[in-house]
Amino acid sequence: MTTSTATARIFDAYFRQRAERADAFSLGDQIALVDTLLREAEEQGMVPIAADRVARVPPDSPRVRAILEGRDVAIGGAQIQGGQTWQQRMAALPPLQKVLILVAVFLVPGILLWGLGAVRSRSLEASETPAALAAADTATPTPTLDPASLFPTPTPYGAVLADSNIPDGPNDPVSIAFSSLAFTLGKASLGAPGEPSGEWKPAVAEWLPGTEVRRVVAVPYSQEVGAAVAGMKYGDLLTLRLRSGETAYYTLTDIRRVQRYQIEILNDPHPSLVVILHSERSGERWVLVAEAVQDTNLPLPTPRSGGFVFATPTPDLAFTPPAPVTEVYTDSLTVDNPQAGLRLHISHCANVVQVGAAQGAFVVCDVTLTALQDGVRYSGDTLAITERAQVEQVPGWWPAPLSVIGAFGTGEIPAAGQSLDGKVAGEVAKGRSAPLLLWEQGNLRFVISLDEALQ
Amino acid sequence: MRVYIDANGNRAFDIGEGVDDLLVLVSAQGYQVQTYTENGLARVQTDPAAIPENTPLEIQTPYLHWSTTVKAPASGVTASAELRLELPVFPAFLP
Repeated sequence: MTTSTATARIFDAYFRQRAERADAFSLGDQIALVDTLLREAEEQGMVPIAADRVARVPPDSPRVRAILEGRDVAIGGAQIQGGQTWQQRMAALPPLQKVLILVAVFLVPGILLWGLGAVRSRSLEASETPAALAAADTATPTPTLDPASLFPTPTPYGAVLADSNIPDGPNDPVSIAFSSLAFTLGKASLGAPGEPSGEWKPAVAEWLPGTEVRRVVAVPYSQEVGAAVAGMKYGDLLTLRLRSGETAYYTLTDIRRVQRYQIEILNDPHPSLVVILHSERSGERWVLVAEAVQDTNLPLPTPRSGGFVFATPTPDLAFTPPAPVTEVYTDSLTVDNPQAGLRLHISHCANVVQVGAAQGAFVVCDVTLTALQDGVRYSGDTLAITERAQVEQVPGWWPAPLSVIGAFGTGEIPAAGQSLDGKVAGEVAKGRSAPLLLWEQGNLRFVISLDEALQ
Repeated sequence: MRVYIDANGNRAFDIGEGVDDLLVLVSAQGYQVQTYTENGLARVQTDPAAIPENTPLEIQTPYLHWSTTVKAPASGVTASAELRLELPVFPAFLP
């Protein structure tokens, strides 16, 4: 039996995330968490496939049972053949095998190693004391914060940017840091060459060019960013580093949930910064709003105007970090999502060669959303069509959105039992693997085979 | 000193286009004062006895990395400077 370092890292990251959420810092707590994870694997077939994702596989699968019972399983060896359900075939995929084996092999040693690391990191945190900041009189002074002490262990910059995407103006921001995170910033472009402009599809973290008074930055909505934001408080500093080498500081004044169409958040006549947590599977976005620190050492000759309107800060940051996503593989064309309060039914799908002006290989499905309770939110951003090969290769894979006439917008179904019909479209350019419909909402991600719907 | 975002592209200041709370520094002959814009406008009064007419006054907006020089006015006269900013191109919806 063999396992890889990569899969070990996946489990380690997943375990850390679960331990932090459960405040499991002592050895006893961690052992209890081990029991919980084993129980989840045994009873519900839940196994981690990324730091923030778990997959649900059939717990009665012979492969799963073999691993849970401590027997060896050969990777790449005999496959489950004939008579299996689609879920069982999914469970037999190589990446999943590795993760399952990981559950058995790395559980205890991983926890022990992590436990030692946690003890060490906690002692380091305890020894840090924020130094005073020699700030001048500004509208919102932050006299007790030292920017350097706020970012003791920034994430190493890992993004690789094409030359054309690097901010090139001397005063363009090239990186952003907040809480314990840092991102290299690319320069946003609205629409790829040859495509209609207006759509901003950031890959990692980007700055929107031309935004000078209110600077606009987008960073990915992920477990990592969510944990960092959840640890912030009003008045914390966000740092933009400019290409000139200058550092610009901003203090967090607000965090809010906005609809994707509320682009007015991008335009404000006060020196400020807005950070969008992008690419959430939702019609809404979290945005952080921060006011620029404009400090000098000069006395103010005139009292500052009271024109700046702040959002009323609350003692605790009104932010909910993303929770782990549970992945459910199914070939049923009707699925209930109790966390979203919605039922999804796929009535029919068709292969088409053109969607709008785009030509290629596409699948378009007629879908009905039915409210299971009053006042449930829905969004076309939670639905997508892709191919099995993509889902297998990239954990959490989500294709680029494809607009089609009749697609779902974003809104609310007011009463239980009410339904809404719409279309979902996606590109299946590879064509060598079966098309799937993805529905991710309320921390549940359904991976639905479309084989039957296409017949 | 006027700072505005030319939202309608008419190259003139219109109501609602002013930048607020922007730090403005004015310096001349060793004197330096600071103020903030309100409705896009920042005003600084100079003393002709200390800063005679036609003395170069340097005006800076550090946040926008912009500066210019105007001549100190005579008593009772106003000298002005203007910073016009283009409206950025925004996406049709948030990413």
